Amino acid sequence: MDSTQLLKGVLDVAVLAAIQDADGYGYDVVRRLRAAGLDDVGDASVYGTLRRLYSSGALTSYVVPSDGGPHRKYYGINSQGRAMLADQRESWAAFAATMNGLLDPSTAPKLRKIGEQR
Amino acid sequence: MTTTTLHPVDDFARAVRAALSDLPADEVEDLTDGLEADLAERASDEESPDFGDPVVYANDLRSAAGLPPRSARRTGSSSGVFVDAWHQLVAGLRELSAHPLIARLATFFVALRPLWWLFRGWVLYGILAWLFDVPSLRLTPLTFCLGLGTLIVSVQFGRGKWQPRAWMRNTLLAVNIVLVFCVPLALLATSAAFWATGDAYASSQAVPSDSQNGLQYNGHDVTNIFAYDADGKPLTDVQLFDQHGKPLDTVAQPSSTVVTDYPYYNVPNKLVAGRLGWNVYPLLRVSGRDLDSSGLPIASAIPLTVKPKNATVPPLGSPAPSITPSPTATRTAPPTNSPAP
Repeated sequence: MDSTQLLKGVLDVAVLAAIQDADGYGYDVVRRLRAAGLDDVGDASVYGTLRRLYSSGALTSYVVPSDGGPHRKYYGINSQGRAMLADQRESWAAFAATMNGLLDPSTAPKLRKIGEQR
Repeated sequence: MTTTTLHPVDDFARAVRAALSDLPADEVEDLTDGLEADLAERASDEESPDFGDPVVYANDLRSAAGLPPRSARRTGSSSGVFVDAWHQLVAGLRELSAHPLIARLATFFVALRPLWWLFRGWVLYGILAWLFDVPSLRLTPLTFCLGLGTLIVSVQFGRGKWQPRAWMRNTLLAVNIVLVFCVPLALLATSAAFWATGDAYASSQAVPSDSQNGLQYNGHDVTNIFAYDADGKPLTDVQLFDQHGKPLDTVAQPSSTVVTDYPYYNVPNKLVAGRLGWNVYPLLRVSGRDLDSSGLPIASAIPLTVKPKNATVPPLGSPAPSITPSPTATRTAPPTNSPAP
């Protein structure tokens, strides 16, 4: 299955989770996500997501000048972001449980039984 | 970070910003702030960094940030305003063309398209003729082939032939637009050519190059010309040329001697070789007895002194006489502003 399609729906919570412990700049966040196993994450999608989360008030932002190079824009999570993360974590857990149950081979007969009742 | 990666990074970042240019400047700034640092770091991470298509990158950035795609954007930066205006114009025209009257008019003009093709071919021909300095209104094998060629090209393009690729159609559109702007030029060129041929026609009457007529003035033959200087003194051996630089001859056939007032004959000026001195005035006149069998004056011929009728010409600036032989005689000196005593 194309994991980039799956990623789209969960990128917000993934990005929030990636910076929940430490502030990070754009590529830093990309690197963390990839290190966590999301190899297909596109950096433009991450930067756009950071920008949108910042606009919605879930993130703080500050610019750090770098030595001799272009400056970096750091993002940090705030209380609203943490609330959003907690909320989405629950949503994800419920959704993942549902999907796991749906896709678990051992639960397949149960599904069939429901179909038979109708 | 290495400085060698900076240039592709800068170029890419610039291209991304360009692809976002329909957004307000501060939004672009927010979206791409720190982009160079991120790209440069990524470039140093990867062995052969390939950022991909900047437009795709910009679209990813845009959609992830929850911004509408470029084409759906209705308001925005100054360039967006023009794009919007264009879209509105196109939409308005489309709406207008749906009106039955307009639609009927449109079919009428569609029926006239071959006329446009003809006209386009002609404009193209005019431009080419002007570029290559070909007399566009004279039928020669060259102008015939050129005209036929431009006509065929124009018609074939109009019929949608010879343009299998989309870019050719765009090129044709551009050519059409350019041609519309070139119409005044082509009109000018061909009308100039027309007047030039008009001149040539008039001068073919004046200059006996390819007609049986000699020099004519108001329908009368001009057999001789007399020139006077500013003091009213007659000039001899005056060489005259027309506006094309051709010798202004009074005779149609410079090779032959022409009978004027029998038994006297005008002869070409001896100072010009090959009996071509027909444009050196005043022409001399000899008696028919002094001509040899080839029409040339014999060595002992005594040229007669030729004088025009009404022969006295006043110097320039003198009061005009009742008979004015030349227009210049009427040009009087402007009154001097001498101070009153």
